[in-house]
Amino acid sequence: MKSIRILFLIAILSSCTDVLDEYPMDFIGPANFYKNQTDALAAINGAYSALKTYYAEDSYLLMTELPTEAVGTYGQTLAGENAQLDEYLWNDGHPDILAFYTNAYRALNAASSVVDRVPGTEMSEELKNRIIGEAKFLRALTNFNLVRFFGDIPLKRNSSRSLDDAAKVDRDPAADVYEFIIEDLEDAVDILPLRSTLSGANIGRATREAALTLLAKVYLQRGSMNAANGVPESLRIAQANDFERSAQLLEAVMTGGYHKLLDDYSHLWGFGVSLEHENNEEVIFDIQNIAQNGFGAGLSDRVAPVNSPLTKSEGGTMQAELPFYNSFADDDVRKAITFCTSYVINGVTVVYDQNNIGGTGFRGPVPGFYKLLKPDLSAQDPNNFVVLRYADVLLMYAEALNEINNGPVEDAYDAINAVRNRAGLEDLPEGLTYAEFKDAVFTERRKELVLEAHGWFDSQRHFAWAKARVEASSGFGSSDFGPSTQITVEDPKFRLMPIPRAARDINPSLSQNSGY
Amino acid sequence: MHFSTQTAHERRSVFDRIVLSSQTRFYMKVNILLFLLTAFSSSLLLAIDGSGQDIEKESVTVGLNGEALASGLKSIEAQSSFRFTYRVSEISTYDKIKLRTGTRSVKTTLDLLLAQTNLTYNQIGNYIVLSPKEEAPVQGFNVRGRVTSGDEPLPGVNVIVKGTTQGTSTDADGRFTMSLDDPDAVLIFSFIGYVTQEVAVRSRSELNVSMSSDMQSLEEVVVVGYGTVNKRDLTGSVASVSSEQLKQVPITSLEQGIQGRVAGVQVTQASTAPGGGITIRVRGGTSINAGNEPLYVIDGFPIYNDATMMPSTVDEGVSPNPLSTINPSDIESIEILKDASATAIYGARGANGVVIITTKRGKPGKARISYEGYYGVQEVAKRYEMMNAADYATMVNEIAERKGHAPYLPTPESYENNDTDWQDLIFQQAPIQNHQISISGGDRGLNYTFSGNYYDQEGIVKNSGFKRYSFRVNLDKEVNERFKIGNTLSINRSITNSLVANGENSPQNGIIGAALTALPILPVKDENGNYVFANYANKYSTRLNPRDNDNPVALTTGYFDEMISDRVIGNIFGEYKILDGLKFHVSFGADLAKNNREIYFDRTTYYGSVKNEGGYARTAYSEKSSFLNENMLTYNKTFGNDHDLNVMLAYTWQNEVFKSHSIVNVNFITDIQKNAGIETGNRAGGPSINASQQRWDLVSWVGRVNYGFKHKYLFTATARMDGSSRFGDGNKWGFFPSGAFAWRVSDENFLSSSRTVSDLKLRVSYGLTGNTEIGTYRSLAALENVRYSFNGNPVIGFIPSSLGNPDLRWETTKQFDIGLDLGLLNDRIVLNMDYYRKRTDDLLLEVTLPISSGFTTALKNSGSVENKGVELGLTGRVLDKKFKWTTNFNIAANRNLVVDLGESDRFFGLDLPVKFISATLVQEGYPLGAYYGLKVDGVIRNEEELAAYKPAAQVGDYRIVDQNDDGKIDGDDRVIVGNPNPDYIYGWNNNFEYGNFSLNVFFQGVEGMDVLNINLIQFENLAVKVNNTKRRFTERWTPENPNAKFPKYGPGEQAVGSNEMNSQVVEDGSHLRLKAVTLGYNVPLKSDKIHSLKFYVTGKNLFTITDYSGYNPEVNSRGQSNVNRNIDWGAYPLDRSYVFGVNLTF
Repeated sequence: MKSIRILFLIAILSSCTDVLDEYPMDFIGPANFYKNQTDALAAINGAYSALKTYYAEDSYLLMTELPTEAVGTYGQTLAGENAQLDEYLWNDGHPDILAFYTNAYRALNAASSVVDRVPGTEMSEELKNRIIGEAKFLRALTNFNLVRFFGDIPLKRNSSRSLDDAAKVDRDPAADVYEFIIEDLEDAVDILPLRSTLSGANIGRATREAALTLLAKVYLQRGSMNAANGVPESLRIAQANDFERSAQLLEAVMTGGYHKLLDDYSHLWGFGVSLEHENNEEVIFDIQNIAQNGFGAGLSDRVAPVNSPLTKSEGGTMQAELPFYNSFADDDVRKAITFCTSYVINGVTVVYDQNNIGGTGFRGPVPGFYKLLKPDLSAQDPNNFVVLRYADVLLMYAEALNEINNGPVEDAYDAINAVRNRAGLEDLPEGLTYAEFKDAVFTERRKELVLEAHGWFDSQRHFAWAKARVEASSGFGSSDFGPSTQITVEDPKFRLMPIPRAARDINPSLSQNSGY
Repeated sequence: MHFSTQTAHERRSVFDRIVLSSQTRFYMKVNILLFLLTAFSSSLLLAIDGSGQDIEKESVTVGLNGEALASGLKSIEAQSSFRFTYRVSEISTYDKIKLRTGTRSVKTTLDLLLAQTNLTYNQIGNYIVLSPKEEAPVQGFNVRGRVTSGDEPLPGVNVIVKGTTQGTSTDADGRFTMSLDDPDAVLIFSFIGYVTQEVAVRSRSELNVSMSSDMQSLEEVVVVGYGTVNKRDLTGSVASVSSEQLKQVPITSLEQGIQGRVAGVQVTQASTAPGGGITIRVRGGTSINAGNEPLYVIDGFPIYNDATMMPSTVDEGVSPNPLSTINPSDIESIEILKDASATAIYGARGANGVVIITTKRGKPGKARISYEGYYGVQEVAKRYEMMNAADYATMVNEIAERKGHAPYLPTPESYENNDTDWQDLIFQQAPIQNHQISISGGDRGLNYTFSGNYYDQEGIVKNSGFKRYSFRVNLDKEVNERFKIGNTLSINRSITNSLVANGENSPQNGIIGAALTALPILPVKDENGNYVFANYANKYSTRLNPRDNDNPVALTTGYFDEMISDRVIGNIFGEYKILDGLKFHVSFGADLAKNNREIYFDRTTYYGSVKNEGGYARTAYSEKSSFLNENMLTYNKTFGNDHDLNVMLAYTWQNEVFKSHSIVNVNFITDIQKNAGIETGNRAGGPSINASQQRWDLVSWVGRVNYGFKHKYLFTATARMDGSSRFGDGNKWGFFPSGAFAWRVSDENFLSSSRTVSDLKLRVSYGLTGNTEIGTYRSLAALENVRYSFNGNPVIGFIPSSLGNPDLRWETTKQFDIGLDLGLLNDRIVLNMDYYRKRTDDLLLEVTLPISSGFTTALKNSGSVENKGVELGLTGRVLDKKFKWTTNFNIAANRNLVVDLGESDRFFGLDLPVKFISATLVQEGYPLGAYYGLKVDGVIRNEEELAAYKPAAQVGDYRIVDQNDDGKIDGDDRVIVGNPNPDYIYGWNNNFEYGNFSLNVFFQGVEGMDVLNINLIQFENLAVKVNNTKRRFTERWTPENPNAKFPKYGPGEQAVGSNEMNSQVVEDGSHLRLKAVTLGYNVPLKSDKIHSLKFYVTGKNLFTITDYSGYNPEVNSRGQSNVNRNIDWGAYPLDRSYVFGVNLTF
């Protein structure tokens, strides 16, 4: 027995321990990463890519746009996922809500990994700072999207590096999340370079103006979470001076000298035109795409008219709702650029006619969108997805001034009129009340910014207006279904999206928002 | 003073016997294992060094006066620490030894005693071995003869001179010659499968011996890991399937031959497609996320049947079966090791059972040429009854009416011109054939088998099929008396034509799903002769807006999918007999597999034209090379009459490297070149390329001791120490011991004379086994590369993709087994029963992490799963006169339970093909992979029932059980709605013989197993986008039909729970199947030229009794997954086939 045992031991000690070491052949491990400048750049580029994942897939956009009166879906029964978002029928099992929640936390971890690990790399301090600033901006943007949808969320201040970091955590108050976002953005404003200093392959990275604009948006959103906006008491987190701070930050962007409104709206969204004008002065931050596998987006098919030659799938996920389409004045230059009402099929041009639906011409009962639609059927969308742009800055400024002064002042009129004039519309009439001006700002926002992922968040800032619009539009239920009798927007559940069921299945200590 | 003497009733052993003194026997009882190991190791020392150290220091006082030598030895033993071992026959002649009484050293005493004999001695520790001095060979007595059985010569029979190791074996003609020292010697003739005979020579120079075959199955040799054992000496739970049984049903792959044959082994044909995947569970699934398939050991080469090594389809679907490259006709026997005593010899890989496959080897004798072949036809056994065009039109018009719309298809009768039965168009009657030629024999110490096989099966769904060409050469050469070499070599090529599976190109269906859901109002082709796609229906009404499926018929002609798999498995081995009973075996083996899969959608298909312009090509290549070295020392010895000892010690090393890559390109100028011109495509952003490489190493020490006392008390101890590269630093090595005891009660005096009980054995075993099937590199954290661009410039970034786990270690299964083997009435009835309990701890669990961590899962050792069950096998020779009937029935019940999930509360099957939130659940207290969802309690029949139902609903809706009674239906109302684990599985095989006719009838069944029929969600929802089953419409709720099976339709019909996982899609998959009936006729032959000729006809899958509504309740669309089991999602239909065959031997 002893001799056998010794034999075993000798053999083990002498021969084979090295053989059992693992050297991965086809992937990179974190142990030998985050060492130098190349690694740091690859890490921050990864964080941008993780952000793109949820912006370029449809979940996030569906959640922000379908519940508004402007965008509807077509071709699904009420059980369909898109129809549920359109018809206020979603619950905690909705797959898009889960997809966004999952991808957002993946993006947070990617950004936090940069914030946590790049300080230890050997590289120039200047570039290191810029990279950390970008990562904080990206982290703030994702946290802001999460907190606006879900309210209280698990606040991840650091990246997960071991299984211990991946412990189950409870939700943190939305107020704390806002504070963390503001901290990140204040750091980013300090560190990030101005847009004018970027050139070549650095264009598209986060800038100081982007951080200023986002921070202004954060204050504006938090400031609106108050009793006057009908926000339930448990969700009221507005702080004094939120609107003032927002306005100050927006002024910093407006006086910065780089960003401005483009003269031609088609350079932003014109079908087949806008690609040439990407990275223009109006764009403050966007998701950058090119038409290569994995480098582009997949939104074009979602907005193309149903079963048109402009889509490879049957299409119809996001279509215009008729009352919204009809609300555009004919001389509004945005109308023809925003909506797709004709296409060529078998050599014949067919045109949308709302009085002749279901015939052999235009295949959908409603128009589709040109906005976000790419000109060809190539594999992936090459068009950038705009997150922040100057028109949004002007409209936010008008909104903030109206809140601060409890009514419109001249600068507020100037801001909104600049946007209207570019669209070929006249100035707003003077002498509007606070409420009238607020309605006008939000109406303008919808027309100017539809499909740019502002819809649901805007609705939360002006809930009464949004509710009236949804109810006046097609009610709950598009033409395909008829109105629903069971659901109203009054339901508290429509202040926040549900924490996804899967997240609570994994971590049952996560609480749920009221109404779910 | 007394000695052991040889008893007369020893009948079997042909080995040397060593008799030990009574004191030593006592000693042995005290510490038997220590003794055995010492004896073993000292035998090794014997070869090196025979000198003693203490023999001169200890003194004894011995005096003999013409007494037996044994008395002197006994006297030395009594006074010293030494013990003697010797052959009784060798010392019994020395009975007049003299020695003056005196005190001398042991050495001097021995020298003086042995000087009077022809003996010498060696000292090994405390043992002194006496043996005869080497003598010059004397001119002996020559004897020759012939061994026959009936009229046949018997080659390869062992002929041994009783009491010696001297022996020979018979030649091809059954003849032997040998030279004897003693003309009165007794010769022992032994041969596997025949009764051993002893024949006294009595000075005859010619002996003719006729041996009779041994009908007692107990004399069978059973292959176990690293050796063989007589079935009667078996201590573990091992089941065998013979080549005869494998032949009874036409099979593509060897695992199919096991189905229903062995208690406790559940074989599920995951896909009935030719060459399709198979899953096997031996005594239930032990693991959740690691592998659950048994380890296959093919002629000594361990292979894990990992479907993920096959180049997959575009994304999902069942992978083809890697083992289908191996020709079942070459198999001599399949042994399935079930309990820990048997499987622990494979240590870290034994937890899910071991399937040992032994291929045919040549036997001494003249060359035997045989041809085996069959030809048959297959047809679809069952179809879904879908709506025809008129039904469909009626349905959609009623739906339109309820929505307040004008009829969508106003003239139902007009679509009958296009009344397309899509199932009909993709199914076909398909031929199946198999041809095998083998030549086998043995001559001048060289035994050989050559075989060649051709198998060709076309699929019952057009455009699918499987072909195999295989060649085998197995050789054994006796170089000299001590040294043998040999090899096995098989070269196989298989060609698998697969179908488009569901899940590819979501939301598109595969060909089966497409054929079931395609609208019956569509024509196959339009007026220009082009295939129509689903959106053609918008011509009739844009309201239909059908799902964008491909045209099923286009997929039978415009889809090309061919995988060529080449596999070479071979080894060479040498065996050297160092000493009597001590052998050294060394082997080197290789398993080289490469798979090249080419998929092309041409531009007549939707996928190759609309989804991807100008065709879609995917070429995927994978290559696995595995090398094995085994070094094994075995020691066999019978001590005295009663002690059988068998010791094995081995060191093995295995290494495997896996590489794969794939290329996808689209948009070709023409379809002519297909994959050969994949570089000519024009995919936006260039072709998509993926590559992967992996390597693992396993280093192992293996040991086993078998000890039998009087063949009645049998002990086995095994141990294996495995070092695997797959685990975390510091946890690479695992130790897996096991022990077993068997008691042959029938050899005890009180039973040996029983006429009723011919055999009774009780077995008990306990041991540890492990599981390493987690893939490679799982203990390491990883980053993944991702893509982004700035200002049009592509950049690659890295983000964390998985968390490492440096503590990752073995998953360990502890198994207890107690079994009983009972033979009654001279083994006319044989019963085998086992009870087992397996507990798997440190489960390798893909633990779901909180989503907020940024990761989804991590592999951790966490939790426990238990399997316990009973197995029963019953074999009977019911009739054995002129009309013979033998029957074999086996049944097994396994209960699977998740005992503990560590820190996880529960988790879900994550990647079900439909966007379910969750459909399968793993939770403490429930069986693995239970189905989880809303419970439907029939249909709300009337207003009264509606009033009694709290959640929002309408009359005619499903009544979904509001489990928490909160007045709404949501995720909190989910419960377990099904269990994929069967209550019991069984098989029943019957053989009838009358004259030259034989009939085999084989039933196989599964009871109490649920199947998740995902298809129903698609085509039992009365959605106008897809065709529906006929029953969904005719049996729906209407005011006139309140007792309906299905709910009404119309607005809101799906609002509540129907796109969730609910109990309506869970069906009872219990079934009883007449698996095969074979009628055979042995042609009586007068000619000597033909040895045998047999014709037969076989019907396969003749009927299935089941309530399952789909094609086949035996299904696993998710392949080998243990969490998502029995999922039917567009699965291949079951075939019924009729085969005519011939077996011919020259």
